[in-house]
Amino acid sequence: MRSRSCEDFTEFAIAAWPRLVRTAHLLTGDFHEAEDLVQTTLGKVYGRWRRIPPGAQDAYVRRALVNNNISRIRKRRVVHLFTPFLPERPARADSDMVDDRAAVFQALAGLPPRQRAALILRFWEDLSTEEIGQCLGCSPNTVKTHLRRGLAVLRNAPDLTSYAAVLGGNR
Amino acid sequence: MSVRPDLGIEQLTMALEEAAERISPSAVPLDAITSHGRRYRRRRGVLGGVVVGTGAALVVAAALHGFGAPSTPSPVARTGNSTASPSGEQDVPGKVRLLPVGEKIVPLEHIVMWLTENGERWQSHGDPAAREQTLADRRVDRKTRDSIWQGESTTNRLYWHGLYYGPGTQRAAGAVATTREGKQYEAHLVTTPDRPDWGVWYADTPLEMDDLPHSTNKSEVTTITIYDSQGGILLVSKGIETSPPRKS
Repeated sequence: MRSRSCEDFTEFAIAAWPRLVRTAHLLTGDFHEAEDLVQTTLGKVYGRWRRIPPGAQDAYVRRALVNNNISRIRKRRVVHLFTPFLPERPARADSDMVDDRAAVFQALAGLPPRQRAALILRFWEDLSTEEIGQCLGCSPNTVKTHLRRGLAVLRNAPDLTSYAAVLGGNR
Repeated sequence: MSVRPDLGIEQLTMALEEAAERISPSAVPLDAITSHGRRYRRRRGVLGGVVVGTGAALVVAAALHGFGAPSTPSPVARTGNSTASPSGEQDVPGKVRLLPVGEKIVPLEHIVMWLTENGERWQSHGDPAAREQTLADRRVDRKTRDSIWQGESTTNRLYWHGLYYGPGTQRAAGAVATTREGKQYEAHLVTTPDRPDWGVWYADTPLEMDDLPHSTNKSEVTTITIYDSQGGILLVSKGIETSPPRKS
């Protein structure tokens, strides 16, 4: 890769890394898996960097991240339990902060990957349904369906409803 | 189940923002990203012409593997004629460590673990929230010898660890972790001095990504085998389902 292009990529990666890791964490539910996912995605992007039109890098990387995550879930057949949620949590040493965060992830974990991605892209990345459709490779109407169904599931998730109650009541 | 139909978009947005903002990403692993990218580009460049040659190359690589310089840690070279000590004990792979409850060790860089009264706790990458797995886990059936386990990645290794348990007082004396590719790695055992019926094993394997875009890891541990001091197998625990190695 030419040095100018390499510098561009480095600059982009440093700037995009924190937000990509956060998005990936919401997608995967696990910090280390999130960083691995972003690292893999950026590695692929690095390999194609010169072919990505300037100005389209953000959308390209976001799309690659979401698709890599869906592929990862589809392909992985070994149950690893790369997850911070243990079936039994008898020791309550963790702080409320961790519990709150876990509640969000646990609620999201119950969703199919595309519904989860749609919700995160809409409500965390603040994308429009058209942009989400481009990212997921589906129509805006399909995105709306994903969002509607995903929200319906979350409304019934006890962990997130308790979290929402805290948010609604105290903030 | 309590239903809250008033969970709205605003709450969800706030919940996601709260959860996301509390995540502290580590430094950008630029070297790893760029070397990954170079590998990816090379693979895409050569895949068209070398599919036939790959099988032969893999055979040669597999044949040479046993004679190459060992990495750290190296896969286990287990032979059928292990040596016996005067007491009749076999030379089993793996290391055992008696560890008092609460004493912390660092099994791998970025990982801190310690035993509790009924399991293990660990922290990784400085995450202040310790995680744990215990014998109270509903997957644990103490009447059978088995293990619950999991893996996680560090910067450049995969860390595998689990609780083993079962009836009887026969102490585990060694363990081997076998990867999806069939390579075997010595595992470490950690037990409390007074509880032979359970303990913790851990092993680490290299981060060897398979072909993109799916990027499964060739060094996923799929089987853990734990031995007694006579070299007999105490338990074999497998992942639930194992995908075959991908062929390029």
